[in-house]
Amino acid sequence: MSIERPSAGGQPSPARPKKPPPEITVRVSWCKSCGLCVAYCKPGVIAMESDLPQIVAAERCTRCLQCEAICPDFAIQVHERPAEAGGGSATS
Amino acid sequence: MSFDYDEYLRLDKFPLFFCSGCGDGIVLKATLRAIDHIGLDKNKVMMVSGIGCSSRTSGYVDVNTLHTTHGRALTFATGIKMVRPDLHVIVVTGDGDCTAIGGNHFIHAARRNIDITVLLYNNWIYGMTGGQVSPATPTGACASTAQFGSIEPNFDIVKLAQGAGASFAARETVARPVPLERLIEQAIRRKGFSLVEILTPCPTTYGRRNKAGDAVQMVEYLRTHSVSQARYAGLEGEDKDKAIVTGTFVDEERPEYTDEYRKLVDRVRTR
Amino acid sequence: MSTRTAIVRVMSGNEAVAAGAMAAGLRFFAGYPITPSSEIAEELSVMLPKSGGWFIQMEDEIAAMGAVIGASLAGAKSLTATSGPGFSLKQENLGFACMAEVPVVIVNVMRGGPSTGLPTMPAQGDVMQARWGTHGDHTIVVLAPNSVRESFDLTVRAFNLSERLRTPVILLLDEIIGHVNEKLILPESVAVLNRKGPDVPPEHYKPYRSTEDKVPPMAAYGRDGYRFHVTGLAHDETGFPTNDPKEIEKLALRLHAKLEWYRDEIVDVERVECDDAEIGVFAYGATSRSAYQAVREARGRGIPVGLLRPRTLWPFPHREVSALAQRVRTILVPELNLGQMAHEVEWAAAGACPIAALARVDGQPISPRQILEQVERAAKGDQR
Repeated sequence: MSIERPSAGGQPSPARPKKPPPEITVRVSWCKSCGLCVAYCKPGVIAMESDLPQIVAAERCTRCLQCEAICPDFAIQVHERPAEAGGGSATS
Repeated sequence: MSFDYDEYLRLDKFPLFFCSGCGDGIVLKATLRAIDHIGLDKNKVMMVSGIGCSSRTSGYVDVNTLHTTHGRALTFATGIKMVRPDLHVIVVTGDGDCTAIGGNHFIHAARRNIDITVLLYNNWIYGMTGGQVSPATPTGACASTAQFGSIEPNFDIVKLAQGAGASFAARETVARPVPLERLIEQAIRRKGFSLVEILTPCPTTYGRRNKAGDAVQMVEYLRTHSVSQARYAGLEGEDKDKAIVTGTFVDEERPEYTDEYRKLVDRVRTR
Repeated sequence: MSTRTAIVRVMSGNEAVAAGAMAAGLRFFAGYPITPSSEIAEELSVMLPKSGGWFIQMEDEIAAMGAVIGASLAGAKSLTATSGPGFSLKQENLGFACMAEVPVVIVNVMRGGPSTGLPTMPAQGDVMQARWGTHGDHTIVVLAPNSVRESFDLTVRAFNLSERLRTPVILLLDEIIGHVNEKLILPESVAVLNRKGPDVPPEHYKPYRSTEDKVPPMAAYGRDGYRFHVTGLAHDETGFPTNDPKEIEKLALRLHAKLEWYRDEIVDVERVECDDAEIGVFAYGATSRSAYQAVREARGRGIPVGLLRPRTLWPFPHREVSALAQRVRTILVPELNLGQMAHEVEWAAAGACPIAALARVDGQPISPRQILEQVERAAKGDQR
C-alpha cells in the first residue's frame, strides 16, 4: 500500500526506492542440515538444496530474523548490505 | 541489524557438538541476546553447568564458565554466588541433571531464593548417555530404559519449583525464540532464584524412539501444543493432557539469600 | 602474614581446627551436621560472619563439597568438615577438586565405621579411603594431627599446602582428637601462603599450563578480566575437554608428578628415640598418644624401642619407614582399624623386617598398656 503525503506544493512525493535485500550467509561447515531455517522462513526465502540452505528469493526477506533465531548451530546469519553509492536510501 | 553472536562465543571450539536438529543452540542464542540486551559485562557473567548435552553449552560461551559434576551445578554456583554476589550467575542444566540427581539442590536453592538464574533445558530424556528415561519423560513414552513405555508419572517442573518456594518460575519452548529470550532476560534481570524451564527437542534419542519425527516436526509439535495459562484453563481431555503450558507462573519479590547473609554480617561483624 | 597477640585457651581439637582455619585466612565454610565433627561448623558459623566471611550449612554433604569448590574457584579459601558417612558422600566432588586442581581443605573427624557405625566413638578406619576414596588415578595430601596443638598447626599447614600445590588437602582427625580438650597457645603470628596468581594477561592465560614448578598459576572467576573454563573432564592446558591421547596422558602424569615432586616438602614425621631403636612402633593420630607413653615406659625398662609418627599419612612416608625397617627387628603398627596402614608399612619395609599389626575395632582407644605389652613380646622375640 502506498501512502501519499501532500507536500507544501500539493505534489505527491515520489515512491521511495526499495532497500536492497539483506545478505543472508550460511557458515557451511557449521550447518547440520536440520531444516529449521527453511521451516521458519514464512516468505520462502530459503530452500534446502543438497542438504544446505540456499537463498532462493532474497527479495522476499522481511528481516524477521527468525531463521537466525531458530538456527541452533549459529550457521545462518542475516547482515544488512552496506549503503550503495548514489541511488538508493541509506540502510541503517 | 543482525545480532553479532560471535562476540560471546569461543569460536575456536565451533562447530557445536550438538546433534543436527538439537534445540539447545536455540536456547543459547536466546540467552546471548538477553545478556546483550541487558548490557552485561562478560567478565561479570558466570555460567555453571552440570552434566548432559545442555551442560556442554558452557564450554562454548566466552564468559566465566564451570562444568561441574552431574546434578551439582547449583551447589558450586551457590559457593560462587556467596563469595561474589556481584556476579550474574546462570546455571545451565537439563531435566535429568536438575530434577533427578540434582533434585535436592534444586529445591534448596529455590527455598533459599539465592540470586541464580536456572535455565533448565527439558528434552524429556537423558540425551547424552543414549536416551534413558528421565523424571520429565511423559508417561507412556519410550526410552532406552523404558522400552515398553514409561510407567512413571513425570514432574511438572514449574510446580516442583513453586512447591519449593521459587520466587520466579516460567516455561517456554524453543519454538518461540523471541518470547523465550524475553523470559530469560527477565529471569537474569530479577533478583532471586529464577527458573526458566525450556522445552527443546532431542530428535536423536527421544525423537527416534517415539517416532516424533525430525527436528522441524518436533519443534512444530512444541509450537502447536504450547498454550497460555489462560487458554489452558478451558481445555479438556487429550488437549489438556498434552498441553505445554507456557508463560510466567510465579514472580514474587522475596528476600534474597546473599542479601540476607550480608545483613547478618552487618549485624554481628566485629572486624 | 597475619598477626595477633598470643592468647592462651583450653579448647577441643575441633575448636582448634576452626581457629587454625581462621588464622590461615579461611573465608568460606560449607558443611553439614555430622557427629563428631559438627563443632567445627558451629564454631565457624559464628567466627566467619563476625569476620565478614561466609558460612552456609548446605542441604547435604555433596552440596557442601560443591560449594567449597565453587567458592575457591571464585578466590576464597574454603573448608568443609565431616565424618565417615559424609566423607563417603563427598568423594565424587573431591575427585573433581583433584582433577580441576582446586585448593580446598576437607576435615574428616573419623568415627567407627563402616556405614553408620559408631557415631560417637573413635576409629581410624578411613585412612585408605582418604587416599583412594574417589575413583581414578589421583593424588592427595592427608595430614593427621595427634593433639589440639596440631589440630591448629596442621590446619594452617593444610591450607598452605593446598594453596601452594593447587590440590585438595584432607585433615584426618579422629573422635578422640576432635573432642579432647587441651591447652592451646594461639600463636602471635602465622605464616600464610596464597595461591600463585596468573603471570600473563587474560588473553594468554591457560588455567592448566605446565610450568617448571608443576603448579599452574590460578586466576579467580570474575577477577581482573580472566575468563576461563574449568571442567572435570580430561582437559588440556586451556582447560577445555580433550580426546587427544597425548594431552590426556600429559595431564594424568603431571597431576601425579605434582605431588611426587614436592614429596619431601609434604611428608612430615616425628621420630621419638629412633636412633638406637631395635624395635619400631609406627602410630598416628590419637593412637600415637598412647604410643608415646608405651615407648617411655618400655625405655624405662631398658627396651630399645622407638616411635615413628607420621604427621603426613599421604603421600606415605615410605622412605622414612624403609630406613627404620633396615635398622629394627620389627615394626609394630597399632591402629584403630584392621591394619590399613600396617599394609603400607609392610610394603615400604619390603621385607627388611616383619611387621606386626595391633588392631582395635571395638570403638575404644588403644591403651598404652596394649602397646607396651606388644613391645615387650617383641623384645622377647615373640612377633605376635
